[in-house]
Amino acid sequence: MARVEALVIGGGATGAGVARDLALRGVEVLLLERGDFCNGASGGNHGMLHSGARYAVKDPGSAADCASESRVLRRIAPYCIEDCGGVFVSLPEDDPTYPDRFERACKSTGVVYSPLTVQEARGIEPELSPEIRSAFSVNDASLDPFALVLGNMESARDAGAKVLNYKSIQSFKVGRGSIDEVIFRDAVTGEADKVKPEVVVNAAGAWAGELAAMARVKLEVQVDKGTMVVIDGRHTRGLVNRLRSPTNGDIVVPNHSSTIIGTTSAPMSRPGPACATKEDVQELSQQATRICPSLAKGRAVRAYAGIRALSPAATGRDASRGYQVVEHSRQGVDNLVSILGGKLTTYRLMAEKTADLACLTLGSTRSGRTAQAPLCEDEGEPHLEGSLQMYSRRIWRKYGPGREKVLAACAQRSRGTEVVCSCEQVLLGELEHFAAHPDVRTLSDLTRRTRAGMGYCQSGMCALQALSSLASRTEQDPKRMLEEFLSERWKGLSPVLEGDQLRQEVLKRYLLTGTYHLSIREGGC
Amino acid sequence: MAPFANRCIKCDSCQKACPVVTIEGLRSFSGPRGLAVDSSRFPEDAEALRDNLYKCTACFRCGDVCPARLPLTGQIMALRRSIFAKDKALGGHARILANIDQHRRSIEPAARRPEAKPSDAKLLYFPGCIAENRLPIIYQSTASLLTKGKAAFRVPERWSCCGAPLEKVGDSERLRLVREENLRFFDGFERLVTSCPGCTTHFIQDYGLEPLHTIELLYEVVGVRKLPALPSHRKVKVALHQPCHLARTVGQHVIDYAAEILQRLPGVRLVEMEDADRCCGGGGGVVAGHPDVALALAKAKVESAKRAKADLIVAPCPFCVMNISRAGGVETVDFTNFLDARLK
Repeated sequence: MARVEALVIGGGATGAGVARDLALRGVEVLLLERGDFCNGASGGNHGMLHSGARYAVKDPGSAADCASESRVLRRIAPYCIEDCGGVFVSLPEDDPTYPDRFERACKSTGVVYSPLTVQEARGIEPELSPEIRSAFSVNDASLDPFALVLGNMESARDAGAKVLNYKSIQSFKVGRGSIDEVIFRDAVTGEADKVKPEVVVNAAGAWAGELAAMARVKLEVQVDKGTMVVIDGRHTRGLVNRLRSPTNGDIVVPNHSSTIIGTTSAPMSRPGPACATKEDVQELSQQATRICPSLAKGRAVRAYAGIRALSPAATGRDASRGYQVVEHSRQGVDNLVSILGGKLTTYRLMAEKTADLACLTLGSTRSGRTAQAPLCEDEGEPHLEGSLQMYSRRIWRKYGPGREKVLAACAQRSRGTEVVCSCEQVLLGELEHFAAHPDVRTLSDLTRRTRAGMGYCQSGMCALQALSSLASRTEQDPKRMLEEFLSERWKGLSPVLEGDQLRQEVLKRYLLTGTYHLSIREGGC
Repeated sequence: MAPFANRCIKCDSCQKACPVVTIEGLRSFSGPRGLAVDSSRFPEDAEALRDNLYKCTACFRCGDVCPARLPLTGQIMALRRSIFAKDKALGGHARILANIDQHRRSIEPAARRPEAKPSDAKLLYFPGCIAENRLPIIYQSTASLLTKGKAAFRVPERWSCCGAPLEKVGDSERLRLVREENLRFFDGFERLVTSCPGCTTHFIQDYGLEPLHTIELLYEVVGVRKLPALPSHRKVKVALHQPCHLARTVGQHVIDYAAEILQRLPGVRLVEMEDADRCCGGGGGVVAGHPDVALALAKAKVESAKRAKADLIVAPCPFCVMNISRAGGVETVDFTNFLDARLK
């Protein structure tokens, strides 16, 4: 039976970060994710690199971590960060004492900020409401979470880690105070396999409590749902935050070809699939248009929800966004380390602290290098043939360390530089490259990696091309693959369907379900 | 992002209607949606799309077939404005700019300009660069028709190119200059008439004036239908080309007028030409920027006329006459020229 030094469970940002960190320390690593990577909170957030300002008043510890980690990420993962800056603005109805507290808190937590006049703020962000009262600029940035997580996976693999998705944990064999054996199963084929790890890292996010229970230890996790709405096009130059105690609909983030409004916070009784509702969308739009009235004219193309796993002390907005590394020896399992809470921005720090503890268990004294080692070297703009040059920057932004392989696929394949998803300007070569990748099993997996289908037509024009790229490489029934994918897209569409997005969906249905007699599940979750 | 770009649902109507797409194919030309919607969502690509942007003939067919009526051509022109740089202008476009600077005409002037006679007529005839310098027959025929219809007119003593070619190149600075000059030169008139649909459209859209195209003036004011026609000793089969700016921006009514006027002429038989409203390639600065595209479109036009067994193509637009003539194969004449020759 296979032995491994460290088994990391969970393929979100934290798990990816831990796997990379350990692999760079020379530890032999296996990472297992039960779905696709970014399945939970790492795929369901608004893609924000926090300057720390949002937490400065309420959660100074997280604010300080964000402030220092955002600097580290700019250094090690510039490819997936759009350093567009951010502003905090207040409206007449907001607590007038908050701006002063905000300023003091930023100062004491090391969050970089500078006060702006209303005029200056509207100079930076012309779409801001004329009603704004106080304003500050901060170092927020837009961060592509998929690119970050997949970049970490790629880098972990380069360092020797074995990383597998679609492997769900069946059971732990616990004997004499430690996990001796872990049995897991392939989510598609059902094939079972097992591994003997020396240490197990539980980075299952919202599901960490359930995973711990399998090892018969208790781990309390607060689960909280957050909803985001995607508006087509970029409506702001940088991030826009509401200058008030964190509430729903405070944040506007420009991201690739869209603008994301976030977020809500609603405690859930236990982790499970999370869906956006019409009410969530309505509230977010209402709040965000108070800050940027032009958003009201934008076209909502999709809404999605993510599940945060928070530290158990408090719930919802009051819970700290800090993280917690839990070592379970006192509960009778010596070789299990769990990581809880935190932010996407602080994933690396969390991963490092977790890896430190895992190494302690392994008896290794090697220290982490992830604060210095870049995820990929920026070799500048490559000089490419023909139209590929135009796309190279976007390809760099999406794939970072994987750029060269993707560019080669586009250049070498016939029609490789043809645009197949016009919303997101995705090339056939990108689809073909990832369709051939062993990690990719479903059309949604292709979407997560390439962005094809994320745009305003919600895959209406690229779904068949994506299907034809992928179906020839799997045994699965193509019709079912397409139905599965469209049903998944529908979840995000149903809460925003009106106006032009409704016209769009009618056209898509006419073209796809009408022509191919597909049946799309119209339930939420 | 263009304010309307998020109204597109990718129905592809515009891509199918675009004449340049039929010539170039979507692999080498991204089409109206690619240019006006997609690239306006990725402004960083606009520069790389320079060649593509300047292949659009500004025929307005895309916006016309768009179910949401999105101003696609307008957006393409806006993108041209945003990437315009004199030092990067295509060869033919650089010549236009140099001509404007030197002569205030978009083309190299002919040796002798027709002399404008001083007059206090309230009707102002704006001949435009082509009718003055390349196809003076249009200038003469228009003058002759107005005289036959007893419409007293004058040509401004001084005038500059209307600016339509500058708009197509994307040069807003020179555009502003010629507009201001013309509005000064035009001082004191009641009605403005133009023989070039490009000028007519530009005066409407950019100057905010209410000009009439020659055909409108002849039909609505002069009463050309009442003017006596010459008898004809032979029959001629005429295909009426529908210039884009006349049919789609000035209005379809002008084409209806033109057809009615032609049909009344002894010996003239109008024949239906397939895609009569498809661009001949003469517009949008494409003749100067991408002559190969312009020529391919002109050839397609001639083929349509041949299939309709036309003896002659009549085109109420100097740009169309010039460009279709480049393809050869079927004789192409201007509407005013054709009409004037057949009226007493």
